[in-house]
Amino acid sequence: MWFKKREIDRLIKAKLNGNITAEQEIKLQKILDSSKEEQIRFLQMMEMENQLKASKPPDESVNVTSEVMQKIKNTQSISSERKVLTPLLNPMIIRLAAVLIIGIFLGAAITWMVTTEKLTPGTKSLVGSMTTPANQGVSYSNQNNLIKMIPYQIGDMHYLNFVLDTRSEIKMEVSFQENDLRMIKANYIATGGNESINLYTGSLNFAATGKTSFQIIFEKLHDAPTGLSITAQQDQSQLFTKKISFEK
Amino acid sequence: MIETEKKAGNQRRIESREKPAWDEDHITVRLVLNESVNAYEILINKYQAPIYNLFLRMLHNREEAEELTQDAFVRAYEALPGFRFEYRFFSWLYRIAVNLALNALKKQKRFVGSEYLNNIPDEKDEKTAENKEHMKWAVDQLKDIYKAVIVLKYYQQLSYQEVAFALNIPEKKVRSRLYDARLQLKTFLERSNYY
Repeated sequence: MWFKKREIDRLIKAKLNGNITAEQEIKLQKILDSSKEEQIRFLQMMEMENQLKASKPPDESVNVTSEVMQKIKNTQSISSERKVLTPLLNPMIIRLAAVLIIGIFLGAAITWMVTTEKLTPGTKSLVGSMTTPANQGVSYSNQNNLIKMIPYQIGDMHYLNFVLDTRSEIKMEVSFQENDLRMIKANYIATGGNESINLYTGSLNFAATGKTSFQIIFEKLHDAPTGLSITAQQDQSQLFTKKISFEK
Repeated sequence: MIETEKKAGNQRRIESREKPAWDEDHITVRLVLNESVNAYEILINKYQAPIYNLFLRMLHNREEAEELTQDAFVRAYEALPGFRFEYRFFSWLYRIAVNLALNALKKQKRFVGSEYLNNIPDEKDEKTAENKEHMKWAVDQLKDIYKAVIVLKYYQQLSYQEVAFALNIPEKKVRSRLYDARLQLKTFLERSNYY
């Protein structure tokens, strides 16, 4: 029976380890008396135990004192050199400095990534005033956004056609002088997200998510050159600001 | 720490189980920590033989045993600032040495080029010397953790408590591991016709 074997093992273990109780000793003896097989096993274990004790190899001598002391002294001379530099190379100060420098680099890199326009090949970066005669478009693109504004003019009417393709919401703001331009109409042609238009004095905001078309129609109130500015914002960051001029 | 009691003119020394006696090794350690580096020689001279023999019995290579003996003492010196005086220095040194030995065993190729053991005996021989060699061979076949308990208990003749400290395991585990080691030994011996 397996549990009996386990019990026998436990008793033999206690016997070999030298912590067998009197009661266990009697129990073990009874088992050994009743089983030849267990008797043989026990005797083999005891013989092995005696052989183990007898097989202890003879002690050998060694002398490593001078080598050890030399190694220690070598280690000490290195650490005494370090003591001179320690005030300058205080680990805590170095760690703080490293964290500061890494932080500055990271911050600069993130700022650069967020604020710098990334233009697709073949697209010019447009900054400042510009003239956009009919049949010429203005476009802005980066990894996640495409914004085109296609203006055209018929008489005194100036049409600003916005086409956007964005992954997340972009807020467009068109600012103009009410003395120069009068807004006739501003509306979504198509939108991939929520429609949101806000009209203020001298400015119009609209939001775009996904594929969106938006049109604004202005009437120019005089013949003198005038203009407006278009600002695109996404996630509280400005993507670009463009000034559009209307010559006539 | 030794607590002493005076009772009816007799003096009894009671050693606390948790705090060992403040022995001369502790005094030497204190000296070393107070920058008397040369005092460390006392500890090296005292314990280099048992430490060397431990490595020799675990690895069976004299050069390596000597190298590791030096390493053990150098490491012990470097770790001295963290030495806790509730330990015996020798037990603490043993712990460092056993760890080094077990790491070295992992790297060592076994069963090849042993300068210490003879070939595997083929038959049972009545001569005691050959039985001893047979036993040593069988010990060498054991898994490292079993070999370590056998060497520490039988060859280094440490107590169960000292073996437990050296291996950083409970005493109960030492006893059960020792028993498992014996069972494994028995298997090796049976297979090699020892009995």
